Amino acid sequence: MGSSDESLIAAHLAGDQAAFCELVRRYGDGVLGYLFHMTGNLSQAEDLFQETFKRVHEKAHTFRGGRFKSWLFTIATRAAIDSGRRRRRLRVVSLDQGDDCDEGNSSQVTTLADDNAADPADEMVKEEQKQQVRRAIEALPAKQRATLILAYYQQLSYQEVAQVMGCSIGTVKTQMSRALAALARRLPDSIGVTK
Amino acid sequence: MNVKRIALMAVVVPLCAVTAQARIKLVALPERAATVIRLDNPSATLIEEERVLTLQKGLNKVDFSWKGVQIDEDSIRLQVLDHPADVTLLSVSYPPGESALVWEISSSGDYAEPVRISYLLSNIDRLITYKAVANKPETLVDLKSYLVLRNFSGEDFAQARVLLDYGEAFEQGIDHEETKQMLFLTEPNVPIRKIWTFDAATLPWDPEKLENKNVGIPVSYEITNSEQGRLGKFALWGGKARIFQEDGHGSTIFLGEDNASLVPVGEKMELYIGDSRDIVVTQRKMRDAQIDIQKNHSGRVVLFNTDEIITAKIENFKDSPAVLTMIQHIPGQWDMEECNLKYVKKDAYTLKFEVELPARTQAGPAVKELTMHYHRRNVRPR
Amino acid sequence: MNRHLTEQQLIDYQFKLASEAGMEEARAHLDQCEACRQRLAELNRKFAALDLLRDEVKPSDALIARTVENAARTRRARVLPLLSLPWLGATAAAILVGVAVLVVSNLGPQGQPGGVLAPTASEPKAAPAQRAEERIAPTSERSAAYGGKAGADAFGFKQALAESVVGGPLAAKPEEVAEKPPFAPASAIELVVLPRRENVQLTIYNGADLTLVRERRNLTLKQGWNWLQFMWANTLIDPTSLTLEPLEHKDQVQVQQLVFPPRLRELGRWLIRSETSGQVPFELTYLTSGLSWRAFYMGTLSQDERTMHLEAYVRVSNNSGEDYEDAQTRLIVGRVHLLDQIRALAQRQYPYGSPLSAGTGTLGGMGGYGALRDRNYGLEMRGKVAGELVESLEERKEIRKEGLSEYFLYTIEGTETIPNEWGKRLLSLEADGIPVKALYKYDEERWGTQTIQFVSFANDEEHKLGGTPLPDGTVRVYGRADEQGHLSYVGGTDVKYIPVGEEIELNLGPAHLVEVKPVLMDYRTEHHVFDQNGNINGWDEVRIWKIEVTNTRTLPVEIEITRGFETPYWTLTPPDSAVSYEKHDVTHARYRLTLEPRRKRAFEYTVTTYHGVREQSFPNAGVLDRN
Repeated sequence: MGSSDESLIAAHLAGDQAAFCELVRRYGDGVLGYLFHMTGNLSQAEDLFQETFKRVHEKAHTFRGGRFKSWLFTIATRAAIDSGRRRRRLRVVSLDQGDDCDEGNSSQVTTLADDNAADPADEMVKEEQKQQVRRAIEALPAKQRATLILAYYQQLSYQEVAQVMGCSIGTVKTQMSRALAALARRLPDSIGVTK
Repeated sequence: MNVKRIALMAVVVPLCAVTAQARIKLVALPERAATVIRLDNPSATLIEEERVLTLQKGLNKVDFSWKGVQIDEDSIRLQVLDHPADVTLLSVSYPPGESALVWEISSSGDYAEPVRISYLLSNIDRLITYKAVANKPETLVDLKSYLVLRNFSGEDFAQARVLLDYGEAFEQGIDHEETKQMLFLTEPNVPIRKIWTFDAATLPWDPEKLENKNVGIPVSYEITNSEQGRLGKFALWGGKARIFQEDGHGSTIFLGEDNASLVPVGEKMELYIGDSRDIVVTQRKMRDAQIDIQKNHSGRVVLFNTDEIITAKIENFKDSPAVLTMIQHIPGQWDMEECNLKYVKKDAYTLKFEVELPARTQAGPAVKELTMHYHRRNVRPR
Repeated sequence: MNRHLTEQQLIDYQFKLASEAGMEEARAHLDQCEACRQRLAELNRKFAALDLLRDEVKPSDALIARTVENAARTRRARVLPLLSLPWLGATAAAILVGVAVLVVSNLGPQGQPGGVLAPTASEPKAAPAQRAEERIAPTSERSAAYGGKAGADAFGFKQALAESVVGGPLAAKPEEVAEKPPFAPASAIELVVLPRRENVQLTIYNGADLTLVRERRNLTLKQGWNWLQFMWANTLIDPTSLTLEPLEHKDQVQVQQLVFPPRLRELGRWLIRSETSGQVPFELTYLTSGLSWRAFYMGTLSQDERTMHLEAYVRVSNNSGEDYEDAQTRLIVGRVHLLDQIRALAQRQYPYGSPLSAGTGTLGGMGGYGALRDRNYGLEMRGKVAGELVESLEERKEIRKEGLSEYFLYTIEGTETIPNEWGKRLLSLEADGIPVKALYKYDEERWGTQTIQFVSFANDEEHKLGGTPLPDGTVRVYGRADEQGHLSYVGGTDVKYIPVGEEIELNLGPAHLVEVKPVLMDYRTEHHVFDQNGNINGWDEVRIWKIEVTNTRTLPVEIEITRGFETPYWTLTPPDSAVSYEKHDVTHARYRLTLEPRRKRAFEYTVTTYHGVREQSFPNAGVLDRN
């Protein structure tokens, strides 16, 4: 189809299922990544991913133009908030189990590293660095984290972030500023994979 | 947006970290199967949740956290439902600086074990409010009672069984910071009695001295919690009551509000709605003399009786009749020499009169006078 | 500049978070400072680590396929446990289709009033009925037209769904209403906002800052469960007083719950269960603060001061934050008992307070109220300064008065329009030729040595009044200074509430033309009694008083003089019969006399007070027949 977001929406509203599928493909990475960083749990992120696009499917008629991406992330944020409210409190921690990482996980998690077919030692270092970054991001308060992900990773403009989060652009900038300052403190110096 | 309430869980999931540390696997549990909220104690609310824990043979650690929710941590209890013999709670420990505890549970097999977790939760409670609409002649009211649930505990309840004082249960969901008001009782045509009360101990006696202010006789509605009163099935809980009256034009006016206190079956609820300025009482002491004086040898007075007369003029300026309840007080030992109106002794020092007042006429207000002539006996000088 | 940039400044510069001035300043500094440039580069290297997580997760094809398929399917039914509210007759449980409800509302043009009941920003403008149809129509590949029909197999299920959910145009037959209410709708789009009010009635109290508002609204309900949202931002409505009741179909329509959702202020959602569909008129009532009224009077005495012309006014003020247009306005005279001030309840952070704070809850910071808001159906008369509208003489409105319980209800004929911050004055009563008496009083205990002037009459037919009690307010009395009818201001006072039939005495202040002067003419003691030790323990005091009364007016005046004694033991020899005397109470005597114009009169009386043991000699002291 190679068409704009708007035309895909219109086609979807007209009943074109393939158009909807294309939208999911087009923005799937970003949405899943956002949800994963917000929840810290991949299977939860996948559930929310489905919920988000289900809502997109149903509410497509309310999309009023403007940038589709920010509208989409508004819905994703809402879905995340709604689910967070039905929070689960219990976590069963089983200590004598072996590790069964990836059991039931359907998505690949560490793909990029594999592509480079690098030296395993380098891979371990990189993995550790990613861990540190992930921990640093997860340590951020939710609002700062969301702002960072939307602005930095999803590259929404600050105005769009304000729309998605339902606050003022001033607040967005403050949150972003604080998030980056916090990261600057936590991230180790001079990370870089030199090859 | 309140940061705490965005509630995006920050559960750390370090996937695929290849370290020698013990791996911590977190398994998300299904939603609560059944939750019971008991609202019968105003100081704390008891919550019982049923969950199914996936336990494996051996040692399990179950992490229960309540960040942002006001749970009394000492009150948390775990009860194993299906296999109490096979599943044992070994210990409870509290990690530092966290609103959480860890149960160490030993299980003899792999079970999907239903358990009941109970705890006391603060800041979730209920209020009762009343709305009464009186008919125009003020003889009957249409009584409605509302139950208001307030949840400020920090926890969301999607659906729970709510139990009130009497074990009447219903299903409701209520989220943190949500308030829900629902109609709870409706009873039309409940008979009421309208009471005007003049208590000589609390109200000014002489309106003339009040320079441009009316005294105002307090007016109450009395509702009896009995079968004759169309109620009488259960105690009426205390709460704020607002009273309205039909105005005869298809609308209502607001008469006033009062706090209703708990009324057991058979007892009366009295709701003070406002003051009437159309009934005026002017009370004066017309005589206050010492008689039968006894002195000691030095000539000092040691004992005497009194001769006292109190008169009260009651004027009814309303165009309808009314019954004024008048409360008079006489301290100490006394006896009535003569009183022109009937009374009942409420206690040793309190007299209650019910004065029937006809409506006013063309000539002016309806007037009734009370004259109490009494003696106080064996009074000692101070 | 000598100071280096802080890390925060570097961050804000790099990520364009600083103000323009800040950006400029940073750029200028970096141009000159190698050290800071290096720090910036180091910072950027640090942040480069963030990119390690970019595209870390990708949805698999399986996930995408599942997502698409899931979205295309309609939502699954949710089984909910029994809801049984006592006293409402529980019936058998049913399975509820858990689709959020959309109420079809036949609103014509976009005429929603702003302010109190503003629709949410995302309220769709087109007719929702059509939208519902679009939404439910499946995304089958075969459909081509916008909102066209779906394939036959899927449609049957969807049609049934549409009927039970949407009602209105799609409903073919009335259905059993499911027992369970749905969950609260997730977004405002699924709610109906209360439509424009049809008519409003205000009942304003003068005894308290309280107004009862009744509004009539027409709602279009669908059979089943309806959610209705009401918002009241920037007004002073007490949320605990909100009541919604159907005016018709009362046995088929039930307002079940009022929910105040978390973190949303000044907003409530009603859950309504209806067995009928279509338009149902509702009445919404609530208590609000900010509207008030007071009474005041203007009395004009005739030249001979024998009659008075009285005008009673009411002044209605609106400081509620809300404009009221075409409101039927009623005023209540009376004293109402309130536990909480309405204004305080309206400004509370949570509608019913919270268990966290004792009593009625914290008073949330609502800040200012009453800012004028834009109105689409704007009123021309607008002003920031409190203004007053006085009705023109041609259309003087009648105010009907009637008694209800302990109150009096004044109903202003027709309707009133009072914009926020405006006031209105209306004439509520006018009576001419009220016979009045000029009365002067002298009572040293209350007013010292001044003689006070009163005008007295009664609220009865004889005095051309008597139809209604007179509410409390300020009275200003004017006199006619001369034959040409010029007025002079005699005095003003606050008058209390006067029931029908009661006498009124207006205190107009110190009199200048009438004087009362008591003079002690004689004083002696007698009848001393001695105790065993020879000390005095009883005696009488005899005083002869002469009271001189002067009337320099051209009219006869009535004078009342009250004399007090410090003891209840006294006897008095009354003056001549021209002066009426009565024992007022245990310690006071009272005289009344009428004095002709330009006359002076004096009278004497003797009072004996009994002290010490002499009190016992006269147990009947003070008890004398009244004249």
